[in-house]
Amino acid sequence: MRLWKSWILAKKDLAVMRKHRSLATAVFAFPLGLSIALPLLIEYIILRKSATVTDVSSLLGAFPFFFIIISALLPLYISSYGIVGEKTEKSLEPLLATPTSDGEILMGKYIGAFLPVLVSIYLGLTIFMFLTDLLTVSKIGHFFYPNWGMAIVYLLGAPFACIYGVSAGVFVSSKINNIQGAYQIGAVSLIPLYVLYILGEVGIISLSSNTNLLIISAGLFVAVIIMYMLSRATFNRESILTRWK
Amino acid sequence: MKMIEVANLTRKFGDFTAVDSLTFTLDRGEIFGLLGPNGAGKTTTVRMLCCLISKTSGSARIADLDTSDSDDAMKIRKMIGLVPDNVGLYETLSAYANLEFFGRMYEFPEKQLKENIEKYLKILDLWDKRDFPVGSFSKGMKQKVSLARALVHDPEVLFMDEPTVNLDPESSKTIRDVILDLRKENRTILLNTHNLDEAQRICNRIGVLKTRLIAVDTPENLAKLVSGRKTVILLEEMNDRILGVIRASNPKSVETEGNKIVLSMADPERETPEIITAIVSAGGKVKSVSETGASLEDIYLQLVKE
Repeated sequence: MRLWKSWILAKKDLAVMRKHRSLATAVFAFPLGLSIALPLLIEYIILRKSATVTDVSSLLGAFPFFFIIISALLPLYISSYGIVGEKTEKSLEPLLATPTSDGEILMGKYIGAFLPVLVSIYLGLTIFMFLTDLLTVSKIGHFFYPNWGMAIVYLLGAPFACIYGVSAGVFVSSKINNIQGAYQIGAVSLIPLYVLYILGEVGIISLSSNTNLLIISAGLFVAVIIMYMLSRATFNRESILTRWK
Repeated sequence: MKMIEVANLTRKFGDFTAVDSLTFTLDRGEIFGLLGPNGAGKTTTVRMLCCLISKTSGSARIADLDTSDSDDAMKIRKMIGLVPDNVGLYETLSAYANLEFFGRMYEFPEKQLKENIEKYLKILDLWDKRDFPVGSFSKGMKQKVSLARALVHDPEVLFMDEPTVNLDPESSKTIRDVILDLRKENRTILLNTHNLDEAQRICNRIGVLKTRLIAVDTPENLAKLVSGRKTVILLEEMNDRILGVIRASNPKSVETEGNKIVLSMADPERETPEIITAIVSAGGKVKSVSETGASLEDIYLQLVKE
């Protein structure tokens, strides 16, 4: 595996993404918007309704899980775009004709989708932590973030969700010829994450529990491996040129 | 050393045979045209030779490297250029950025790459538009960028799949001229085309493909494969009596078009003087007598039909 070759492809994908404003906006606007909207929600709805410190802490602990979901959704869109875009522009054949292995091309696609999303998510999480601390320190009496739960989201949950999203996007894109379709079908594979969020909201499980966040991250890791194997099996020259739609 | 050696190359998709027992070789500096109808297996052949898809049986070697060996395949890809049937460019990126990206993917030295990008964009009259997104280009301009992409890394062997299809005459000519210049540089080219005139003009040899290779030869020798010689007699005036004496001479076929008669004969050297004498005896006045050979189109249609 020559990572420098993958990096050339990733840089090309990033350049293409920059040219598509809607794509670039989606990647950065959503996490950044969320990083501002969630603290404001805390400020206006919770603090002004005289919620208890326990209520606020519980809510704050659950919010980072939002970023895990977004970490999977956004790369799904970018990787779908990266593969379906190559398919519609018919650029896969000349790309495959270069002296580059299937694995190097796939890795390039992963890096090109993974990097901007992770940067955007980290930026969003940092702003979220800063604003939330600023708005809640007087109520709670200490800075709520950073904490171990956020560390798990930062180091495990978000990156794993991100890789899962890329893999799902690659896999689904091999079967579908339009970006929206690929994105929507890929998003269906994230249903377990939505279910977890709902279970957290109704109080069946605690999404602020470090143990639960670790279990969710471990589950994501297993899902990443399965989805990577599926996308790796799909992404080979022979299949792309003879079986892909 | 042969640059391309193909022996009994076969590719099946399930029960369907796309390419059947293909055998041919190409010398360095040769331009070989693959002619065939849609679905004849031309693109599948190019894809196998470019190590993009596997073969079912047989062998294919490029510069003595085996296309089915994964290590050799990587070396082959480095020394070949491909002009696919679809241009396959990144529409939002500029022509320059497209060529730069592919040149780097071909692991071509950066300094030479920049020189080659400039060289080919200038040859193809696109240098002034190098920073424009490819999406804003006409079909002909995109095809030129696609050709430049196949050349930026100085490949020894080029595979071109219908490089001038649907292009205007000027763009087609530019691309044909570049191909002819490449022959002078001793590059080996395999050209898939529907354009019989183009094949006749630029190819050293032509292979007629219809799943199997029906014929391989120079355009001139292929002409001898079919009985395409025709005698054209131009008369001052045509009438039924003249037509009657011509038919009475039993040529293989008679076609008339105004005062022009086109005859196909088994033995033109013996029969032509006899027919001219008969026409004159019937009161006809002969303005000219000429002979035409079979066109590549005649040859192609006859071979494919057979």
